[in-house]
Amino acid sequence: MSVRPLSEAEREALVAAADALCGGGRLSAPSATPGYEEWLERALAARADAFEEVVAAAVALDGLSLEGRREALRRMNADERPRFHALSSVVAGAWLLVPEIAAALGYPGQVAAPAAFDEAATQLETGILDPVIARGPIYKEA
Amino acid sequence: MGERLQTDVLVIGSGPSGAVVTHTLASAGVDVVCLEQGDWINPSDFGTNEPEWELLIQQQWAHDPNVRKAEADYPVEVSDSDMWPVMLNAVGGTSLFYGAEWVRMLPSDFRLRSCEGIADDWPISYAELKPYHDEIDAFLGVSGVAGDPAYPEGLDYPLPPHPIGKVGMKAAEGMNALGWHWWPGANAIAVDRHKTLERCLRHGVCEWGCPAGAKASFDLIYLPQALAAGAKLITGARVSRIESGTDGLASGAHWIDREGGENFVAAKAVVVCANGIGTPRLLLLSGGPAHPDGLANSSGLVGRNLMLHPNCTVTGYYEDDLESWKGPAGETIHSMEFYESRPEHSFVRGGKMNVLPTPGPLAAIEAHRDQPFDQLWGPAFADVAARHRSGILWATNTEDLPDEANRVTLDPALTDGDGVPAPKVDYRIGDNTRAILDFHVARMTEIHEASGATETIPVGLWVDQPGHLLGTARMGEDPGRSVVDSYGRAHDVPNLFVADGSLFVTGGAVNPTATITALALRVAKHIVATGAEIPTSTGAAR
Ligand SMILES: Cc1cc2nc3c(=O)[nH]c(=O)nc-3n(C[C@H](O)[C@H](O)[C@H](O)COP(=O)(O)OP(=O)(O)OC[C@H]3O[C@@H](n4cnc5c(N)ncnc54)[C@H](O)[C@@H]3O)c2cc1C
Repeated sequence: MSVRPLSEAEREALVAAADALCGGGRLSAPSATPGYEEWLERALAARADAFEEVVAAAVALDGLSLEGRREALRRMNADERPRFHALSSVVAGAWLLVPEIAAALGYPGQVAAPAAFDEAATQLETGILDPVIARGPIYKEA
Repeated sequence: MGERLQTDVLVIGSGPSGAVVTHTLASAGVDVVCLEQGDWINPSDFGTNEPEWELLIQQQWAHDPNVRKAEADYPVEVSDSDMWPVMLNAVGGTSLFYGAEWVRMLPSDFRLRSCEGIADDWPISYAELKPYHDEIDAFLGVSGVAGDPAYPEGLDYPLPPHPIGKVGMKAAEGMNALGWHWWPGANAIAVDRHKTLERCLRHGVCEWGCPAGAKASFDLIYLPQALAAGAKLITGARVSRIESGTDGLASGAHWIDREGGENFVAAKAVVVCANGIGTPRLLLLSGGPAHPDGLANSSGLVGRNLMLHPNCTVTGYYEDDLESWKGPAGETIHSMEFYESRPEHSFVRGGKMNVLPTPGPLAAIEAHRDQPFDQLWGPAFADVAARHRSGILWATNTEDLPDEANRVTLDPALTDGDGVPAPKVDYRIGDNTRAILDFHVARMTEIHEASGATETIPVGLWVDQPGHLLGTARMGEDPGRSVVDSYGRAHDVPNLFVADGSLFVTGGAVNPTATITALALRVAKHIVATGAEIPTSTGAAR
C-alpha cells in the first residue's frame, strides 16, 4: 500500500516520533497501542506525496530520548512548518485511526446517521425560532 | 487531426452552470455537446469513504488544484495573490466539493449603485431572477424553512429542512441571547430521495464528496437528465481555444483529448461555463483576427473584477457533546444580521454568517495548530482531539467589491499538462474587505461567548478556501463597462455566451451557486427562445 516497504529502523523512528507527539496522556502511547503500525502504513499511503519527507523527518530524530525528540519536534514546528505538518499529520493521524483510540475519543467515524422523520420539526417546535419571527422582516427594500 | 463534430450549441464545462445550460437546451430539443476536461467520479470513489479521509483530503482529495495536481487539473499561478482559488475539474465541476449551501442574493445586491452609490447595478433585479431560482430549487429539491425575515415574502423551499442538530441549536441560543437574525439553513441536499438524488445520511463530509449521493452535485442531478434528453457529454476534453472567423463570430472550439490528440467541434453558438477563472482564461486564449485582445474583450474587462468572497471563521469548543461529526455540512443555520451597510460601521456592505459542524478528530488538531506546542502535542494531544465532538464552526462569507486590479490573466510561463497557458491570479484584499473580516471575527467570537463556548479559535482569513469565483466577464448594458449583456451574450460576439459566476457584477455575500444556476437557466432559456435569430459564423461547418 505504501510507496515502498519501510525498513525496521524507519518504522521504529516513525513510532518513536508518534510517541513524542501523542503519548503521555490518558490513552496508551502509539508504541503500546495494538494495531498502530498497520494504521501507520495506511496513513503513509494516504499521504504518498509526502512519504519520503515524513520518513526522513522521523529518522532525523534517531537516538534522541523522548524529551529530546519532543524538543526537536518543537523546533521543527517553529522553523519547518510544512515538514512538521506532514510528519505530525501522518504519525498522529495514524494513531487517531486505530479503532480503540477513535472509540476512546468518542469518534464513530463519518458514519451514516439518518435523521428521524420528526427530528427537524421537533427542534423547531421548541420555539427556538420564535424571537427571530417576532422581530419581523429585516430585509432592505431596494 | 482527431475527431471533428458538429452541433448546434457547444457548452464548455459541466459544473452547475454547464449542467443547467446543457439540460435546458437538450430538453428543448436543441442539439448540444458539452465538453468537460475532467472525468466522472463515483460517490463510492471519494476519499470520504475511507477511515483515513482526513489525511486523503490533505492532498489526493484537496480542494486546491495546485496541491491535488490531478490529471484533469490545470495549475493556477497565485504568487501575486492574497488567496488561492480552489475548484474541482470533473464531471459536475466544483459542486462535487461544494457545501450545497443554497442561498439567494438579497434585493439590495442587485442595486448597489442606485441605493448606495457603490460599484454598478446588475442589469436584472431580484424579482426578475426569482422565477428562475424557484424552477432550479424545485428541480434540485432544495431543503429549508419558508419565511426567512431577511428576504421579501415568497421565498419557500420544495423540501422540508434538515435538523439543525445540537450544533445549530447551541449556535441559535447564542444568537437569540444577542437578539440577532438567524434562520435554519437552506441546502441543496436531499432530505429525502428526490429524482436522481439519494436521501441524506448525514455523513458530514459534504465538502469533500458525499458518499451517499444525496448532495446535489450536478453529475448526479441535471446532467443525468440532460443526457437522457439527448445531450452529448465528452469527458477528458480540454478546450484549448474557441475559434472565431473574420466575421468575429464563434465557430466552435478546439479540444485536446487525454492522448494529446487535437479535436474540433463546430457549433452555431458557444456557451462558456468554465467558472470565474477558467472562463476568462479561455476567452483570453481565444483571440482571433477580429478579437486581437482575446475573445469578447474589446472592453478590456475579461478577467478583471475578480471577486472571491474572502472567508473568516471562529471555531468554538464547548463543554457539551454536540455530536459535531454529524452532517449535513451544509449550513445548519445562517445569519444576515450584518449583511447590509450600516451607518455605524467603518465599512460598506457586510457578510453572511453561517454555522457548520466540525467533523473529525484530526480537524480538531488542525484547528489548534497555532497553539503553543505543549498545549497540543504530547500529553495534551488526546484531550484536544476529543474536542472534535463539541465544536461549532462559525464562518463568514464577506462581500469583496469589484476592483479592476483583481484579475485573471494568462501566465507567460506556466502551462497545464497539455501545454496550454495557465491562468495567473492577481488578487489583493482591500481595506473595506479587511474591515468586514475583522468585524465578523469579533462578532462570531461574541456569538460563541453568548452560546457558552469554553474556547474560541479565530482565523482572520482562509487563504486557500475561496471556491467562489466571480466577476471576470461581467454583465451590463454598456459594452464599454461590461463583457456580456444580461443574457450572458458577449457584446462583441453575438453567438458566444457566458453562463457562470463570471457574470456577477457585484458579488453579494451569499454562497453563489444558487444565483449562478438561476442565471444559467435564464441564459439557456434565452438561447432556446431566440435560437433562430442568433447569427451563425460562416466558418461554422453547417
Ligand atoms: C470547498 C468548496 C465549498 C463550496 N461550497 C459552496 C456552497 O456551500 N454553496 C455555494 O453556493 N457554492 C459553494 N461553492 C462554490 C461552488 O462550488 C461553485 O460556485 C460552483 O461549482 C460553480 O459552478 P460552475 O459551473 O460555474 O463552475 P465549476 O463547478 O467550477 O465547473 C467548471 C467546469 O468547467 C470545466 N472546465 C474549465 N475549463 C475547461 C476547459 N478549458 N475545457 C474543458 N472543461 C473545462 C472544469 O473542469 C469544471 O468541471 C464551494 C466551492 C468549494 C471549492
